[in-house]
Amino acid sequence: MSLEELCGLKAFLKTTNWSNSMRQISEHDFQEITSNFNNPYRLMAPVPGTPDLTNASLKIDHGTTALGFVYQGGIVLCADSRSSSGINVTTQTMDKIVPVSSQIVGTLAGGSADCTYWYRVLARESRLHELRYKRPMSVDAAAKMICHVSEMHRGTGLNMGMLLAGYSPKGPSLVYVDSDGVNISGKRFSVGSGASNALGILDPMYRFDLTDEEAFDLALQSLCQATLCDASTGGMVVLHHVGPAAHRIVRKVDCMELHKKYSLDARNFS
Amino acid sequence: MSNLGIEQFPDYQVPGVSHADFSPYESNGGSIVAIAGEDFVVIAADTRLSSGYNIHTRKQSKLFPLSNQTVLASTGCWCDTLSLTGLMKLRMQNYEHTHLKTMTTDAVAQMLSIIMYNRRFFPYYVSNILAGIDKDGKGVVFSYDPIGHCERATYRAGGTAGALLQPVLDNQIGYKNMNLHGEDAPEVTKERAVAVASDTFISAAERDIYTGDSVLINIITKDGIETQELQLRQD
Amino acid sequence: MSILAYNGGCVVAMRGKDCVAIATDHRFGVQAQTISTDFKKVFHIAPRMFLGLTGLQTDILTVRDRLMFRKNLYETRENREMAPKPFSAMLSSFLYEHRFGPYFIEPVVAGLDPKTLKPFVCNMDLIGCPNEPDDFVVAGTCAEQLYGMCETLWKPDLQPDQLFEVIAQSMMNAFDRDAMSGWGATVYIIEKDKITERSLKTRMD
Repeated sequence: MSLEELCGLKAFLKTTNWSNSMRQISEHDFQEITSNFNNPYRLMAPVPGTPDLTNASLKIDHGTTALGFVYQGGIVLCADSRSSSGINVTTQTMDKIVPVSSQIVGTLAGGSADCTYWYRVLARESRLHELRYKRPMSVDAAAKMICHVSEMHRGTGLNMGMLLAGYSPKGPSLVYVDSDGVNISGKRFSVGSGASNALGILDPMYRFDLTDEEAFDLALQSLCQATLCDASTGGMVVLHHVGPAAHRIVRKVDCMELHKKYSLDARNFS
Repeated sequence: MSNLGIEQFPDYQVPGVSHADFSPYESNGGSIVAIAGEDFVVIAADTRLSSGYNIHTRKQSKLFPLSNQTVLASTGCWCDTLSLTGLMKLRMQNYEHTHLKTMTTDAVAQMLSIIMYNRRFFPYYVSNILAGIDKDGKGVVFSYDPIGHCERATYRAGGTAGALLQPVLDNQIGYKNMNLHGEDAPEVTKERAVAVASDTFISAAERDIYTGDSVLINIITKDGIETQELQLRQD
Repeated sequence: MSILAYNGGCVVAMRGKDCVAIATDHRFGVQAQTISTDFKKVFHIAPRMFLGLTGLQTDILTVRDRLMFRKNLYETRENREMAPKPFSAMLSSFLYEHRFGPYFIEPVVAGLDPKTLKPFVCNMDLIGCPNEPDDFVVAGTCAEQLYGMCETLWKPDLQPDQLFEVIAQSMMNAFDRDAMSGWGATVYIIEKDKITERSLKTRMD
């Protein structure tokens, strides 16, 4: 608490005396220090001046590679499950494909906390949208919302790269949004540090008229390549299929299984 | 846009101009290990509180019981830890008075994530691990990064010796890289969890100067929290 | 990112009963991008001695070549095999020669003394501060993880087959938690009458 006073944070924590602070804290102050409980967009503002945040920001978890493409049978989303802080692997089992609503699925890359928090807010918004207007939120609307968030926090170090996929009566749509405010709708994308590796397989092999099995195989192979070539990609590979009616997890497989299947020198390791 | 809090943002991070005016953080050291089993969870933290090469105290518990089913362990910048855990207790009390029931471990986990994300642009510099019994009676561990990314796991090490201890847990609890001859990994028992947690701390105390003195081990079951203590190196 | 972590990789060496083991990973990368998975950072430099070098790949190769030159010169002059201890002393002074423009490497030496057959392990920082413990030495991007693993699994007087198991488990579990090392590993067990080289099948992510 004294540190926060030193930093000139009296405006946020109007506590004058530590021993009394928790007892005398008023309802208003209480709301203020957890402001995003009432309004999720209202995060605490950065402190005036430039604090040295290197220590803290080094330890922030980052997620990595995700890809998605539209083909004749729907949309395929595929992501790895590694999350790392710096060069340390924090977890190998993170879920990076998040169902936002019954219609929309998203993948996350970049800062894990940023993505999960704003996906949670997006899920809330889309549910409210359904209740208000009695029809599901469109993918474009969802992308616009994330885009607004990015714009709001421009220059603050927010780090997200998202693929949003879903079906509307007009057909499938796949949108890429990121923390720079980019918002593109397209047929195939790859996001994250291993994106260029995945695109190396995905781009030349992609056709719109792939069969389901071919599409799944292509997605898995592209991601397998990313796990092999990119240090911060790895763990389980999760494959989602978004169809006109519903979305489902097609496969969840350890990338070592894929490596055995696809690698040219697999013979050396079997 | 005023309801979005946007008017509060000062000019920030102009490219080419980066000069830190002050360093708000300090690392006070300490390590945490948590291991979840079928109907219990073991969470342990050392009791040394230090800064730089100085030891402030050798008897500081880093375990904060939030309810009789949930314990939060927190290390990093100690003032942030105190501020955060104080706020957590306050929020949980508020919930209890409003809804006339105690928060479940899963709810506490989500709330902690949101509280931490509120300070996205001036984070709590803490390494948190939350352990407890979930609504189905199973042991769970939740681990956090400094800005509130929450992940459910069965075992986790954190704090200054987190990098040393995590692979040991992978090996001893997760049976990673072990040839199990096609059998399933044996289920972790309470005795084994306590033994592994103690052993990892003995190893960490050898190599990490911020970990030592003693370990407090909390064993959480549906009947409540049991506490054990183990002496470590004092140097 | 530190220049020592630019290419990634790790090496660990351990003492056993009348034997030593040294292990290396196979990754050569440029920051997060993996370029090749068959770069062994351990070099066989004398019948019972291995040198492991982690850090910047260009310096690894340079230091290896320069040390080989100095070692060969020593052996030609003295007409006897170079023991690990004098080799480490030579390496240490070689690194200190470049005190103000160092090679960005962390070396590990492991071997048996040619005369007494006593096990020897040693590591150094990049300017050649030697450390000769009687248990194990680690170097590379996952040094922390390796310390944790070795500290838990290692015990005195391990037999060669037990030593292999301990060093292999330490290595694999340590680099699975490190993004910059892994992609296969090789273990060398040095005994008085033989050297065993074994490749480990590991995760490739």
